Amino acid sequence: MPLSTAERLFAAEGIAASLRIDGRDPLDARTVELETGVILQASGSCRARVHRGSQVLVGAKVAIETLDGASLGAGTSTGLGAALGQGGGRIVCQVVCDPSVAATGGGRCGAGSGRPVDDLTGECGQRLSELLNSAASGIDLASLVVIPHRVGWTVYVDVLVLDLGGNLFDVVLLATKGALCNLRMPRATVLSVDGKQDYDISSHETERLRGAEAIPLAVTCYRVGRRFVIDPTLEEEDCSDLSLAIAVNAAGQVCYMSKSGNGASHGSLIKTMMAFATRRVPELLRVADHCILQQGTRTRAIQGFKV
Amino acid sequence: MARASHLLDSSLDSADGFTDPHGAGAGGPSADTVTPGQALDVETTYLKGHGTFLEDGQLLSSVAGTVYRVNKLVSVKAIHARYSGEIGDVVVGRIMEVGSNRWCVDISARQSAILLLSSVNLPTGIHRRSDETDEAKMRSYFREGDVLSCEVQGFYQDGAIALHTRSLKYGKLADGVMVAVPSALVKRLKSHFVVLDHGVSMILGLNGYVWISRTPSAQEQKAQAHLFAGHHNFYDAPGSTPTAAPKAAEAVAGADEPLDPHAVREQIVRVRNCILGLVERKVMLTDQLIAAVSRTARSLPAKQLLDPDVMDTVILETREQLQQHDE
Repeated sequence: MPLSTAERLFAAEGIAASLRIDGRDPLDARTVELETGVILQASGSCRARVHRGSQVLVGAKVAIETLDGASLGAGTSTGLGAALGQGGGRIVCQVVCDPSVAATGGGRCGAGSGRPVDDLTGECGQRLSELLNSAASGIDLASLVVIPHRVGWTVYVDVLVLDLGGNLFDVVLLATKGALCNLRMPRATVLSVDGKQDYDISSHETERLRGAEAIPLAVTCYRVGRRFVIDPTLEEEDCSDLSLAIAVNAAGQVCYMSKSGNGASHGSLIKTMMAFATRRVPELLRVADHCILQQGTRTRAIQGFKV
Repeated sequence: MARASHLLDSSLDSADGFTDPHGAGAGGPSADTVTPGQALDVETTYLKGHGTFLEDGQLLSSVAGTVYRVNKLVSVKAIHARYSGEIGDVVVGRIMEVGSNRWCVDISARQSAILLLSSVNLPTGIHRRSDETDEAKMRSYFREGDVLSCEVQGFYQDGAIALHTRSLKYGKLADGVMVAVPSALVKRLKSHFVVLDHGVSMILGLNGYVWISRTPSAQEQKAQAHLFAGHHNFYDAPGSTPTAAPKAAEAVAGADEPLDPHAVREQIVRVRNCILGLVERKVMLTDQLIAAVSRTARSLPAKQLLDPDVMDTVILETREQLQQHDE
């Protein structure tokens, strides 16, 4: 259910006047709380909670996948093409919304984001999968190959949206990074038996996912009127006609971009957004990495900051 | 969490004591918040109400919420319970659906509430029966997504709430922002239409939806009454068009000098953040408490109120002021 015209106007006027409905400036973000290792049964997990905003829980699980006829038959799954190209190993992402959140569209006063929830989560899962299975993700996908072209690890990233408060993709990517940094997978060793290659999975030795620390983070810029805002609330998201998710790595390189919304934009605005993202994300990564890598299972807060 | 619960207890007490003049009446919350499994303080004879269960001869709470006592009946109302409604309640709702002769309105009750075409004031202002032309124009009165204030008129057989807007004070809302809080945290007041300082007004819906907007000027209020008398479309609420925005700079009811629209907007944001801050600490909302907290917060930029520590300080400071006021 959309907002009323009057509410949308009020929010848009606020953004034009640099005073958003919660008092932030257009380029201010909310505080995020990260907690890793929250699901004992998962190989890696993380929960991210934005102050008065979205909350997501990410669980990562690894499984051995044999690339035979059967899995080729199910070739519609994302990442399989890439997996075959490099000889095995892929990351499968799924984003689902908690039914109680989906029923209300995430809205707290009868108004949701103006988009169906399935649409939001579907888009989010698609982006996550595209990003993580590409070379730009920083993950050493080749390390997921056990026996080239025959056996590889599949990492399942399952995201559960516990609360919807706008800016879903950025939060999901942050939590996914947390979960993949937290991931411990059993060590697989390749054996040669009678001239045939076989593998053995260790029951006690584990290893980290190589390159998980290098996963980029995203900042999504939402255009409202002539300006753009980051980290919008659900109401502000409804006011926006165009948004651009920009994932940037620690070196300040743009790794991935995805646009949504029906609006069209002049190139100069896109450039401004990209320039902003390349400035902001390395700073954000520094704080996020500090939180993710330093913490065991304790909660640490990442302070939202302005660049 | 220790800090929050400390605030919770103390603030609940102060909020409760402070609003006594309003008279919560029988059945008001008795300042105690309980958690599931907590023993309820009861006298020797009592009646077991909703949200309670008996174990080993003790009456325990089955939900987290506030204890209500009506004579001997002891019940616990869950904090996140849906709004149940009582006749005469002022509520804020959002239109979800436009039907043939009714609007379905979300008021955070178990079912959508129903606003019949026959329960709204028709544009000409004269008391008359609605006809087909009115049915055809329903979407021009209220459309999907619109926010309105209204009153609970009664209940249908299936428990759905019937609403009406047959008064000048009810109708479409504009030029403001809506906040949703648990309905259990909104205290029943003498008036739910609250005029705060610095050009901000608020409608504290008993269903937990709060509408915060700028106070319309005296002229605007007069103009609205004039519209209501039937010359124009009453349903074009003031401020719903961009041309109405500069009017914010004009005189506000009760004050002669014009208020800066940006300052008014910032005060709206402050009130919004204060309400959310109080609700996060599970404090019962009353008009005077919100007014006092937002008065204390006025010295701070609205943005800073997002910081939980700052909010704690503001609430504690307000509490001290209220205690001094009482003495």
